[in-house]
Amino acid sequence: MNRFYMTLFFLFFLSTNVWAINGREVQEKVVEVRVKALTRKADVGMVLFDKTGKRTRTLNEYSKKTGDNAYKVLVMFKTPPDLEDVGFLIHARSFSDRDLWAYFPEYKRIRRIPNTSQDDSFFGSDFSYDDFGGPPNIDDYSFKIIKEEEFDGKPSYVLEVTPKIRRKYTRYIAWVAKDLWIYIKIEYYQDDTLYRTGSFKDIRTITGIPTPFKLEMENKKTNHRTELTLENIVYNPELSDDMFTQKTLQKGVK
Amino acid sequence: MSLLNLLRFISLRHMRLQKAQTFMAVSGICLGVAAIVSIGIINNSILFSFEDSINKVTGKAVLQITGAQSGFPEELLEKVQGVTGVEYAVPIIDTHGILVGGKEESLMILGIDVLIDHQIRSYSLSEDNSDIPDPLLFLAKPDSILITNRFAEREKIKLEQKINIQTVQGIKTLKVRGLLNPEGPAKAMDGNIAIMDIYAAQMAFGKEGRIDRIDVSILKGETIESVKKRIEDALPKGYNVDTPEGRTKQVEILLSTFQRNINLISFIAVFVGMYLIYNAVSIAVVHRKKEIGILRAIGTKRGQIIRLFLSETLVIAVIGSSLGIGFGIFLAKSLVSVFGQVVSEIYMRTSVNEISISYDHLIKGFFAGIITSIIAAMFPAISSSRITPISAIRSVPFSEDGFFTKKKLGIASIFFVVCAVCLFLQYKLTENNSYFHSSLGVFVATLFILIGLSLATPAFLKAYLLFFRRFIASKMGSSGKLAGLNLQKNINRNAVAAAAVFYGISVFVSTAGFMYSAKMSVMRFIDNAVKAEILITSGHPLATTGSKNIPMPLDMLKEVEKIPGVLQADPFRKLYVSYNNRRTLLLNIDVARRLSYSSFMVVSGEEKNLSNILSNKDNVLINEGFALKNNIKPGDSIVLPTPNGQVSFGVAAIIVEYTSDIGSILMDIHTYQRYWKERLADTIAVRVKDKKNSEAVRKAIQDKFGNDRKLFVLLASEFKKEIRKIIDQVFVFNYMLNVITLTIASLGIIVTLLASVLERTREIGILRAIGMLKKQVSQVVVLESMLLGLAGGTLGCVAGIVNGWMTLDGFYRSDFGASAQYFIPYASIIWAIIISGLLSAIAGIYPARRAAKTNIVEALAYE
Amino acid sequence: MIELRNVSKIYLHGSSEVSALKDVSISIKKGEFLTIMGPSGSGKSTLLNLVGGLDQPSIGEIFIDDKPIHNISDDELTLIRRRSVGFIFQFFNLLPILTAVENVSLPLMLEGISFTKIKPKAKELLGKVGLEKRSEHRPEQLSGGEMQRVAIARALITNPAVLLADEPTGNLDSKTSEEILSLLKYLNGQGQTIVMVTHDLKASTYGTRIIKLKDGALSEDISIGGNGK
Ligand SMILES: Nc1ncnc2c1ncn2[C@@H]1O[C@H](COP(=O)(O)OP(=O)(O)OP(=O)(O)O)[C@@H](O)[C@H]1O
Ligand SMILES: [Mg+2]
Repeated sequence: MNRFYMTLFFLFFLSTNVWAINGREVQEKVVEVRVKALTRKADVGMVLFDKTGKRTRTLNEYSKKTGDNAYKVLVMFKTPPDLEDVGFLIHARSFSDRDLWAYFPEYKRIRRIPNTSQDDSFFGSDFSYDDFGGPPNIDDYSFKIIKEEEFDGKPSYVLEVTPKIRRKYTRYIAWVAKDLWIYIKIEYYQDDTLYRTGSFKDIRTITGIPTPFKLEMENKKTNHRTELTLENIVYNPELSDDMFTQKTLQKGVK
Repeated sequence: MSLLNLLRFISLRHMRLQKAQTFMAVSGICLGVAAIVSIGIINNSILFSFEDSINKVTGKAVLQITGAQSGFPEELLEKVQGVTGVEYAVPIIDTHGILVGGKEESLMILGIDVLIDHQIRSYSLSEDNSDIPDPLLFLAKPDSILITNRFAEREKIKLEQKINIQTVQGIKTLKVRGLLNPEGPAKAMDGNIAIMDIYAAQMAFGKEGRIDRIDVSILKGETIESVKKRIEDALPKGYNVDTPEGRTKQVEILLSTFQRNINLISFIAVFVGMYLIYNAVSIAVVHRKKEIGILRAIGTKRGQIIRLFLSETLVIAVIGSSLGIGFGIFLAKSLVSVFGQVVSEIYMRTSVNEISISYDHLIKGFFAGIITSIIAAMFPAISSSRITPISAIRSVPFSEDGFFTKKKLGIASIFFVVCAVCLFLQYKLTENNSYFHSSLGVFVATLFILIGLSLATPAFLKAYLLFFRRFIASKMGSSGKLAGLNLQKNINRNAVAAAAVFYGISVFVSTAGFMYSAKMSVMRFIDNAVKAEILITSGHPLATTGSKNIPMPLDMLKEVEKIPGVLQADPFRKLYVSYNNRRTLLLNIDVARRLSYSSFMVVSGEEKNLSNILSNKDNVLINEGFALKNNIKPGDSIVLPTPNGQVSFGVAAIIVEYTSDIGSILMDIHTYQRYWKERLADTIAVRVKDKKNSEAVRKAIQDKFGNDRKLFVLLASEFKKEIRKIIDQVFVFNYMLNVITLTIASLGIIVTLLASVLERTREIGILRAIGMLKKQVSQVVVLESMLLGLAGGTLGCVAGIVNGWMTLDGFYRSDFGASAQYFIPYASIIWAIIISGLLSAIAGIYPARRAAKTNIVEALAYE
Repeated sequence: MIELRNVSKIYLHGSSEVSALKDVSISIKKGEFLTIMGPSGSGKSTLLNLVGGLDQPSIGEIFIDDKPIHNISDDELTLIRRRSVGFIFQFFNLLPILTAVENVSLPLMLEGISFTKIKPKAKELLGKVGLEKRSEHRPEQLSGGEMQRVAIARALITNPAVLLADEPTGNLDSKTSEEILSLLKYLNGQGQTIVMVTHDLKASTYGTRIIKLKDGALSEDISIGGNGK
């Protein structure tokens, strides 16, 4: 199940990849950049690797900022044929309060995906609902710069993020590129064990917004890996509100 | 202290010297205890497996909402979710399919809302070694199914492999999109469980828009009772809101007949074991009469003698019971899966492969062994204390032992028989449901018949031997004469051996009697009910919730009728409904059609015009068992839960109906369709135009549907054969009982004859000294054994016939209906006589060899 | 020391009665060696059994050391047999499953004393009857005379008030008989009261007093006098 949410997770990252001088200020800057990138459309190629091999799929992604912290996302799968016209719709009132629907054409049925407790793992997976809930609410975490170093050729702050209340991932280490204010790498820890790693590469600046075109997430426990490649990114396109409805989800984007 | 001295110096030495006797006594107790223990464990394991499956499949749900078996509308889910105090309410499709190909295993298939169900149940999917490689595909494709690792291994199924599953919609091809680790539901049913998304399951099983069950967890701080009440108020009438424990209880009720049946076995096994102890101790007392006399003469108190024998028995009982526990566990282990299979076929699907030992049963078995042994030893022990010291000094041959004099025996025998008759009369004459109308009374009555008639064995044996000597022995030469004389010398003791056979045979004949009667009744009913030549089912012809039945859509009827040579195709749908919290069978047939060629066997109520009364009307017929259990008369009405809420149906008549032992209701299928909104049939009965063409028509049907779905197309004769097989299966435990009792009976004979041979050492020595051949000696002993066996067997048949009749009346009639008639099992009686003769002849072999080996010099020197 | 007052014993044989003893009164003093003689069926054994508490009189009273042994419960009577009387039978009546020393110990074992505690005394007694080397043998490995010696040792182990012997030599040859009788005589010399039934006139001469029975009634009572031979 995780791959599916991993996907959602990355999708979200795509739309909100922003980042700040003490720990908290670094985070505030990151959030600022992410919010700027909220309205956009993109074509996404996704490759999933596991022990049995790899799977490829393509999808279109649309997102729109609809309020201070509110936004809407629509994702439509194109390939493979088995997944054609499968779609997801997100209505987020804030970064952590959102409704999620999925459409499965073979059932001709829209299913609401319940917004359950953030810490519950889905289907016993190592992905928590929190993973695709938007940038974490700043007040729920404490941030600390543990060092500055060059990473992937970029000078970065290394940020330690600790949830104030114990969570599944007890700690993240995030590398924030100094001028771009985006994450270029995150490590998720469960106590002292590294659980999974995300890395964000091929960073180009489109319409003034730094955007990683190649994203990778690796689950250290299961040895599964997912790569995303972005194409045709357009920031702040004209997207009508009608587009982000269950009707479009069902009928497809014309 | 003095007891310890006696035990150590006297009892232990006897045990060591008389190894064979000790061994027999120990094995008798061991067998009895093993029977209790194994049956207890098996019972427990079956229940536990149900409970465990229910629990695993239930997860965190504390309430479960069920309706009629065919499910209820999806919309109810939202209603339940809206009830205050409900944390999660998740929909379930609870059904099953059969894997086509491979081992044809049946699978419990759970349709769950995968997006939310983990709130209730835990699934181990993504951790490390097992997962759904592509969860999105799983959700997007309706052919997705998850099976357990265990099942996959057994059936050699790989991930992403397509499997064929027999469903209501015919054979469906599904794709394995994930393997479940044994956790939560995946551990239930020994891995024979598959998980589908709820909507996929609805599509595959023809249940669009319907769900079978809603599982509910409640918010912290709420009580189950109050939430249950609120849910009940929010729902239309006719839905059950029950705790999982409640469901377990229902299983218990469902299995109660079955369990009663097998508990009976353990009881009788212990009783027969007890008898063996009585036998062994009696013989020991007779054998050691002189010793007792000496002990008494030099100052041993009566109480000491009694305690000595009781302690000896205690030692033997402790050893026997301990061995019995071990043996019982072993038996349970080796038999549990067989029992599980039978339960699956007849009642509910389950797979029990492991035993769950309840210490309760072990302790119960242990103490039952000890207590019954002590009680059994009591009589001979008391009689031993009556041996006078003088009898030791006066070296006269025994006068028979003191406790059971001829007169006393006669009185006791008559007393028990009279008691049995009274108990049985009381049962017959009291109203159903009254306190005195209990199966226990009948059981005690059968026991009294056994005791009463066994006490009459000495008198019977005497008459029998007189007869033998006068008419038969003369034709058998010296061995015959000697054997007859020897037996006559010690009538009472030999009667004990005969009585052992008596018990074995009477149990054999009585089981045969009621099994035969039940079978005959069912077959008569079937002959009446099944007038069709061909039956089409997708599963085992009798199994309803049994493992292998997938209903067929009613549209098939028309297609069947299109096949040339087919006169008519009638549907038959059966399912369980809950009446008064008891599972009851609801049978649906096309009444008008059925009446056009066959009538019902009406016991009371309307007989004419049933077609008008029932067809698409809110009237039903009920069977005797149901009427009896719920005290319903024709003209009453019963309220049944339907998917559309509670509906009241008028009872038009009570009929003979043996489809199940849990009570059944018969409804017109149109009425059923109207309320249940479901068009399925479990069996299609096909009548052909010309009987001669049956086989050809069968083939035509097979060819037409065989590809889409797996079907059993059976000729009526084959169907009846299947039913016979199932009835036999129901009684498989009774066969076991026969084996146990006959084994114990043989042990009884061996013990007696051995004692008799040892005692006659001197006599045998003299016979040998004056020229009797070894062969002749053993011939005499074997002949004696056979005579005893035949005597016991003959009397046993008499008791068996009576007991079979009472058992049928007391136990099976309440299940099968009062119309069950008693048939004397002549064939079994002939068998019983043959078995008793043969078995006792075989039992005589060992003592005979001992006798033949008698050393002449030692025997004559013996004081 | 032993008192029989007007003792009668009537056996019921179906509907007919057999008077085995008719109004017998005897008084036996301590230290006496009484022999009872009489034809077969005259009631000798019956008398001895009554004195030994193996049976109860139909009419009359019996006392041992002034304690009544008639009309008492079976348990009380059993204790009399165990503690106050020692029996020697014609057919020895040893338990075949026990060794000689175990047979001798049996009466004390019934009191609950452990065999290891009794054993020295039992061995001593076996020595006294001349069987020290045979103590671990079973009855079947012993001769008749030896078995009877074991029986005597068993009878003595409780230091009984009286030793009762019913034709103790009835099954033995004359030489062995003499040995056994000498042993009894020796014991009587040590102060042991003995009542012995015998057919053998010669045997009766070992005693100090002879009683003759006829048809269940006392016909003669002869004192041989003194303890000497
Ligand atoms: N248990 C009994 N039942 C019936 N009659 C008995 C019983 N015991 C003894 N008698 C009878 O009582 C009478 C006396 O028997 P008892 O044994 O005392 O004779 P006895 O003098 O010892 O003879 P013997 O010298 O042969 O041993 C006999 O006629 C005998 O038949
Ligand atoms: Mg005598």
